[in-house]
Amino acid sequence: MEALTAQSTSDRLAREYHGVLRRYLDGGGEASLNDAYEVGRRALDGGLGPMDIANIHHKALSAALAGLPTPAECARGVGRAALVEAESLSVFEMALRGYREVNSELRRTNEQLRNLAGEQQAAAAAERDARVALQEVHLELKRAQGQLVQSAKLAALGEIVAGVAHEINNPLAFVVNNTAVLRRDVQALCEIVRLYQADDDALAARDPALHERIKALADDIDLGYVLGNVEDLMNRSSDGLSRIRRIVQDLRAFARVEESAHVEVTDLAGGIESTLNIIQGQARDRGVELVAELSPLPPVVCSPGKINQVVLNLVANALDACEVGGRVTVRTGATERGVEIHVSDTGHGIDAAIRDRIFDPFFTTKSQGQGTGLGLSISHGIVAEHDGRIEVESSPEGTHFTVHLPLRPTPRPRRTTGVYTAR
Amino acid sequence: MGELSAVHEESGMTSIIDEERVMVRNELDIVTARQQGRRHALEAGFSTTEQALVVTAISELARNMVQYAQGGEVTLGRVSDGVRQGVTVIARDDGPGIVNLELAMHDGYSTSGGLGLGLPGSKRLMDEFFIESTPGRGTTVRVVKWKR
Repeated sequence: MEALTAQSTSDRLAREYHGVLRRYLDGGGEASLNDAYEVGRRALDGGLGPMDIANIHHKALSAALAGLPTPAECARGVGRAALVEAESLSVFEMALRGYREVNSELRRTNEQLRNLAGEQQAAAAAERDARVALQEVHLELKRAQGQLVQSAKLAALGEIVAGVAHEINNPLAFVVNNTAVLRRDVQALCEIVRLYQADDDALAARDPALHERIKALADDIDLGYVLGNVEDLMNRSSDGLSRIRRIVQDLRAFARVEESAHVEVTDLAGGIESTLNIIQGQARDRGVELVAELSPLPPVVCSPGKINQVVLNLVANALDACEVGGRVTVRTGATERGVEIHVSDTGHGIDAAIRDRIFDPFFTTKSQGQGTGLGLSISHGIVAEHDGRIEVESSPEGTHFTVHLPLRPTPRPRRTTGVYTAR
Repeated sequence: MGELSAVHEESGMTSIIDEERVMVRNELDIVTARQQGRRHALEAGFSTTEQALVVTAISELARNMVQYAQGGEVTLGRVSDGVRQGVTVIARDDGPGIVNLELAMHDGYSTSGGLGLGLPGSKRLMDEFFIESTPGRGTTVRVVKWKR
C-alpha cells in the first residue's frame, strides 16, 4: 500500500514536472521555475530523492526534445531545462544541508553524552573507591577501639579482682589463725571431757541430779559422735580455708595482668599453675580433663600477669574446642634460649580455611555473645611484645598451640609519650 | 544553532546597488520576487546552480511571510564588499513576530515545512543571515550570498 502510494506520488509528480518543463521551454519564465521549485518541495515531502528528480527530469526532457526540429534548438532546450532541474533540486540541496548540520550536531551531542557518561562512570568509580577506603578505615578504627575497650575492660576487671582479693585476704588471715587456735583449744576441751567421762560413775553416785543433767545434754548433742567427729570437722575447715587462700592467691597472681608495664624476672611455673587452678573449675564443669605437665622453668624477664593472661586464653579456647570427655594438656619446658608453653586439646581442630584468620581481631567461631574474637588477638600481641611467637598446628584430632618466649625481650627504645618539643 | 545577529547595524551595511522592492502577498508576488532575485544573481555572475539556491531562499522567506504575516516587502539588490559581488535579500513584514527566535531557527519547529526548510533552510543556502523580530511588530530577515 505504501509502495503503491509512493509510486502514485512519483507518477503524479512526474506528470506535474513534465508539464512544468514543457511550459518553461515554451517560454513560461519565472512562474514555471517557481512551479519547478514547488514540485521539488512536494517531492521532498513525498519522500522522493534527488535521483528520482533526475530520472523524472531526463524522461521529461527526452519527451520535450522529441518535438524539436533542429539540433540547435535541442541544445538550447537542454540548457534552459537545466534551470528547471536546478530549481527542483535546490530544495533537496537545502534539505541535505539541514540534515548534515543536524547530523553533526547529533554527533557532537552524542559525544558530549558519551563523555558525560564516562565522567559519571569515573566519578562513580572514584566514589566507590573512596567509600571502600572509608569503610576500611572505619573497620580499622573499630578494631582499634575494640582493642582499647577490651584492654580497658581487662584493666578494670584486674583492679576489681585485686581489690576483692585484698579485702578477702585480711579477714582470711585471722580466720586461718583463729582456726588453728580453735583446733588446739577444742582438742584440749575434748580431752578434758573424755577425762571427766572416765569418772562418770562416781559423779552419778555423788550428785545424781547433776549427772542426769549432763547425761541429758550429752544425749541431746550425741556427745560420742561430736567427740569423734570434731577433729575431722576441724581438718575439713582447715582444708577449705587453704583452698580459699589458694584461690585468693591465684586471683592476686592473675590480677598482676594489670601491672602491665611492669616487667620483672619471673618464675613462670608458679603463675601458670595459679592460672590453671583458676580455670580448673571451668574444666570440671565442662567434663574436660585438664592435665598439667609443668617442668621447672628458668627465670624469664616478662610481664607475668600478661603471660598468665595468654595461658588463660589458650586454655579457655582449648576447653571450648573439646567435647565432654576431652582432654586439655598444658606442658611447659625450657629450650636453649627461652621457654615453651604448650597447650593442646583433643577438640575438632581448626578448619584450614580459617587458620590464617584466628589471630585477627574480632574473628570468632563462637556464637554471638560467647566470644569477642579478641582472645587470640590480644594473646598474639602480648607474646609479640615479649619478642616471642605463637605457633599453631591443627588437625581434626586436635589443636596444639605453642608459645615461645625468650629469656628476656630485646631491649627497645622507650616509647616517648607527651609532646615532642623541638630545641 | 548558528549565530543570531539582530539587524541593528542597518546603516553600516554596504549600500545596495540596483535596489528593488517587491510587495509579496501571494504566489504571484513570490514569482516576481524570484524573478528579480534571479536577475540580480545573473548580473552578479552567479552560475545556474547558485541562481537556483538564491531564488529558493527567496521562495522560503517569501512563503514564510505569506504564511505567517499576510505578506510583507522583499527588498532585493546587489552588494559588494570591495572584493566580492553578492546578492542580498531583505524580507520585512509587520506580522505577529517571532516570540522565540532560537526555537524558530530550530529545524522541525515550524508546523509547516519539514526538517531543513523554512528559516533555517534559507540560512543554510545563503552565506550571511541576520534576523530581527519583535513580537507584535514584525520580523526582518536579511541574507547575502556571495559569488564564489
